[in-house]
Amino acid sequence: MKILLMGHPNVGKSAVFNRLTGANITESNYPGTTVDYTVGYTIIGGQEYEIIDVPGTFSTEPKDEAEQVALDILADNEDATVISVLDATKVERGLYLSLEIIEEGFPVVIALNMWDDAEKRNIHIDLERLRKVLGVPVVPTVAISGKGISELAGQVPRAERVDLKELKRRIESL
Amino acid sequence: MKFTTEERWKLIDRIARETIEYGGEETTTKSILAELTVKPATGIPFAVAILYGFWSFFGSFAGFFTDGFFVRIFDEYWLPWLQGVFPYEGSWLYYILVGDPEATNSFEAFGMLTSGLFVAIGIVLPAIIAFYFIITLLEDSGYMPRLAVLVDTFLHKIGLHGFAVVPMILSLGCNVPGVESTRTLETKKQRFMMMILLSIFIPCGAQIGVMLSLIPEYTGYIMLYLMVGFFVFGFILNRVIPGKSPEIITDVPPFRAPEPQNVQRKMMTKIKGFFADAIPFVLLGVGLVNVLYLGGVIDWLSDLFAPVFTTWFGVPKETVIPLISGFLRKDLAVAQLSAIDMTGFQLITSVVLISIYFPCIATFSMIVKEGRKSGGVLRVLGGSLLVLGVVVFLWGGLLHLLGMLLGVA
Amino acid sequence: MKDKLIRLAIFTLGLIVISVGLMELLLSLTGETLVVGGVIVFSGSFMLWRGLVLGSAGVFMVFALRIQNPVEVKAQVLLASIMISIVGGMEVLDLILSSIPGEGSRWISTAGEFVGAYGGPYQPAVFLLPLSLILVVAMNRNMADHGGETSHEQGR
Repeated sequence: MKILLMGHPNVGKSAVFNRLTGANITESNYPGTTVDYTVGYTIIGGQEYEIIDVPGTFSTEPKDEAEQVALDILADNEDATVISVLDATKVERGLYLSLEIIEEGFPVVIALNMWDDAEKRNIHIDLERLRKVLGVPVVPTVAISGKGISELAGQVPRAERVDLKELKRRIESL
Repeated sequence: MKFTTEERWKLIDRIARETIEYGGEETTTKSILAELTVKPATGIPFAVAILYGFWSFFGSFAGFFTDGFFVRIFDEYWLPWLQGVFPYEGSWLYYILVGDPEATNSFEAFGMLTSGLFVAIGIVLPAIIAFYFIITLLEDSGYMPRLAVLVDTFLHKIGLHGFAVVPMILSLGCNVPGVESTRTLETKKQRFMMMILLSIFIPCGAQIGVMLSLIPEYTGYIMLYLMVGFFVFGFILNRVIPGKSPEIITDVPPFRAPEPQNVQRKMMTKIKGFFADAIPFVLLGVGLVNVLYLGGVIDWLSDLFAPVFTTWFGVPKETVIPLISGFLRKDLAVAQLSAIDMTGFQLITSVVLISIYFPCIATFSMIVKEGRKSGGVLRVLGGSLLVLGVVVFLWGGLLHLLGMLLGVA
Repeated sequence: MKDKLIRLAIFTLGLIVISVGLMELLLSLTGETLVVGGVIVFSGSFMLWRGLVLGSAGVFMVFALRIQNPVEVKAQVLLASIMISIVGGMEVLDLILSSIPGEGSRWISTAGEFVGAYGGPYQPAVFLLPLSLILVVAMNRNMADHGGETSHEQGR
């Protein structure tokens, strides 16, 4: 079983990866450090998962090599579950990529990382409503301190493919 | 079924409107402070303060270990002990491993186990630890992207954008990760330009460490001349090389307190990686030069290049030797230079030559590796060598000319 | 009342820092060393850079007083004091690191040498460092974020 960690650069994806795998890899907050992808392993509910830290990308239309690598990894792992890591202070921007991945037919779990920053900036997100409308698990995390990571891992086996027609209907009836 | 871009944004707008509520950000001292660091009037002096802190820390920390302890360990214990117990004095093996039997300090002995070990452990190691410590702090506190925004305007003049400052700063530690990180730049043109400018004009931390400990009085001038060269040739390359230099828009993350554990882990990984490469290269460098010396190759090369060196660059012909070892390690080459008898200005010129003449072998192999992704190895290498040749002759010669005009050469 | 005192303190320290900065700039150009009252010494490499940093930090402090919004005043004074702390902190670090290695054949300096290393005279930034830190603490305690009232509430 495989998990792909995907998200924009600078959303703390590597930190989530570190927390999930406990591996000794480096994490930086300037763009581009995750160009080489990293692989780690973890066990969720007795099942072993291979986790790939996919290079940061903005969309599924590649603009540079790192993004191309990201897409290649996505294409090579059709049976994987994707953890889509978003910056909780910029949910709209991140959702674009999440939506694209959902459209590709991957089961997705959304991690709203840097949740503490969002709280500090008085950004309120209705998690329950977001989960219902998207039809995927949405978990708030603070990867730097490890908050929400075990819940995130726990949601991975529950992720399912989303029917796009249904999704569109749900969103429009909000 | 898939959505179109427009459809997707519409759906997301809808979701966001219904589930997210922005409470409006309070202006706090912290958020204003963050703004002040990117506004030029306050940001540039602040950046100067950060850089001053950087160098000052580098100097105190490296000085503490190198001058306080390592110089003594190597000069008073290691060298005399090795000279005493090592057999076969006068043989080629002794010459390669221990070097000059009369030497009184580890610097001038020039054997693999004397100067080689001293440069690698005594000088380079403290410099690299200090460097990576500061870099990690700058990265993890979120200052690095701010610096990028600040220098954006300058870098625009040479067809690069602010984030090109990341490879530049990394190169100050070691050119290898610097060249590697050019892949985050957008176009082939930018990657090529940055790769070549870095490997020519930015001296690495090891070299800076050696310069600061041997010729502190000249280091400032050398750095200045190299930085001016960086911009002059950047400006020219931007005009000459075809291709686009697009702008990117990136967010500046808020300041955060660096996590001690994270800082430590990052530093350890970087230092380990660096050290595994550095020691073998320094030792091999010293060994190779000694072998070449014994075989008479160096004398032959010195004579061959003597006219160019003495007339065009105005430096002694012995400078050829460090130039050869410079291919393996630039720090080592600077160390060798300082042992040659010459005037201050000649020393400045030859250190500049060492920096610009050819990237060290580790950087060179990284350029080959990255070149494959940036327009083909042959094109990148051919282009680099061409630029390199022009730069060495013009920029090196110009310095000689400057010296003559100032009456010091 | 407290606000006024703090403003006066910012202004005074700002002027002192500016004069130290200017002095360092001047001396770095002439290349001289100056000892004031046996305890303060202007010397060493990088003096030009210290002068630039301190000079601009002082200017930031003085000019901060012309800003209307108190939060912005605080931020700018904080920025200046970080700059002063970098210069001062590095001097202190250098003092500590150079006091440890011993002379001659001793690895570590003797107690006497160790204490002697702290005998001064000191770089001016060593004195400016605690002053600027005290100023920042006093400012955060006694200067209101909005308007003239003093409030001890931070955030929500």
